Amino acid sequence: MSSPSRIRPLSRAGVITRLAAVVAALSVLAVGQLTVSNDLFPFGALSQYSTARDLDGTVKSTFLEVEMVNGERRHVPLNPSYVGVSRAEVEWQLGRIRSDPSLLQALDNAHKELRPDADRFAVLHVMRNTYQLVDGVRQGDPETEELATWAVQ
Amino acid sequence: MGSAVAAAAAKAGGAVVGWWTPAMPLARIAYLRAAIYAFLIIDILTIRNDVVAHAYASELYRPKLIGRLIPFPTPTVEMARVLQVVIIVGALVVIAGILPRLVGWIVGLAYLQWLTYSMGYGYVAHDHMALVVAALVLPTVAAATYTSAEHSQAAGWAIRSMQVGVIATYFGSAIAKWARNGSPLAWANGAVFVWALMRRSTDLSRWLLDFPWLLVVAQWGLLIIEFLSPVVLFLKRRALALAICGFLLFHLVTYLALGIHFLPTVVCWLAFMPLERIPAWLQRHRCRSPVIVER
Repeated sequence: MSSPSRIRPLSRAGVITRLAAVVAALSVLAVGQLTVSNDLFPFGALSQYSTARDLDGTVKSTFLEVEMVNGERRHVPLNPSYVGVSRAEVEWQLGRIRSDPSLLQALDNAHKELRPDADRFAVLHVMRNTYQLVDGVRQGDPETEELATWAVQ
Repeated sequence: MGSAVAAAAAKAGGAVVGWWTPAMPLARIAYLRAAIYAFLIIDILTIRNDVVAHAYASELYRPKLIGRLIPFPTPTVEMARVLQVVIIVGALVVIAGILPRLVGWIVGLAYLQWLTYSMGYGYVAHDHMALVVAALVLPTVAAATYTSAEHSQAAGWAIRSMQVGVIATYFGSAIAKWARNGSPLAWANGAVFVWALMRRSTDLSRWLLDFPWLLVVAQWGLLIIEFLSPVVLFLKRRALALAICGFLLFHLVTYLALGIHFLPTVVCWLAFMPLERIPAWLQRHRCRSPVIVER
């Protein structure tokens, strides 16, 4: 490769501000990893799939079941195009939702705006399947439990 | 003795400064801008495309620290639409080479606001750190053309920052695994891949659930690669090319097995590639084409 025709150097101030930005960003990133905090986004913990799971433990999966206005009970996908939020987001806020199920009204509000022609919800049930593992192999059918319920307003 | 230590420290400091602000080809910035700003449009429309839907469920908005520190307004559908227009129009303007610094800053801040809304409902996608760094460092470099022969330290710093953003995604992930579980061994010897496959396997990967020991081996492999990732920052030529291929292959396999593409990080691997050589490469290939001589 031929040598460059011209090199544009940075001024002293340019170097100092850039290095200061690097030190700040790497410091926040280090704190984010060590405290495993997502609150420091975009330099928070890179913790996706970081929680070790026990080969003899359980696998939990949250889902939404809805009693419709016509009495039918249906599985509704937990994703933004249906109810405004995703499964991971509901799981993250599960504590809040269980102590205040009225927060589930937000899912009904979003569904009405996003899918105005769809059948309307009457009661929302946040459910969870728990699968047992032995040596990393799933054992039979899951245990299903109801975590929160809300009759829409 | 004291002066010898001071001299050594000064030399080390100089090396660090030199590593962070190398004179790199300005042309590479032009290619990176084209790729990154085009990708920002794809990202807000197809990947992190939940901001409008999120605005309908605003009771569940719990912004991360950045959303509490910077006075972004509460997300509404109208605000989401405004951000979409600013980001898309701004990105196209930058790709066209017009006011890449001023418009780049506007797009960078709008994109940060967009992501604050997208990731303010509990779930944070960890594949976006390198892309956010790219959106915030590319506006610090002057206008660049695809055939510019100049080298620039500002370009070097932006490129280096993107490279570190990419590597930190993997290395930080290894540290987070260690911090969360007390030791790195707990994660590697656990059932994370089983857990992930049980929640979201594909037709190509479901069979792996019958061989959990294979998944444990894969976990060890991934953890070792993540801890070693900073080495890539110091590789050159063939070794660097091999490392890039290795990481991209890992992402392809993860996509086929779990449907997770990690494209926002994948696109930033371009910062490691000698994109400034594209015109010369094209020229060589044009010259090789047979010339038809009419008799």
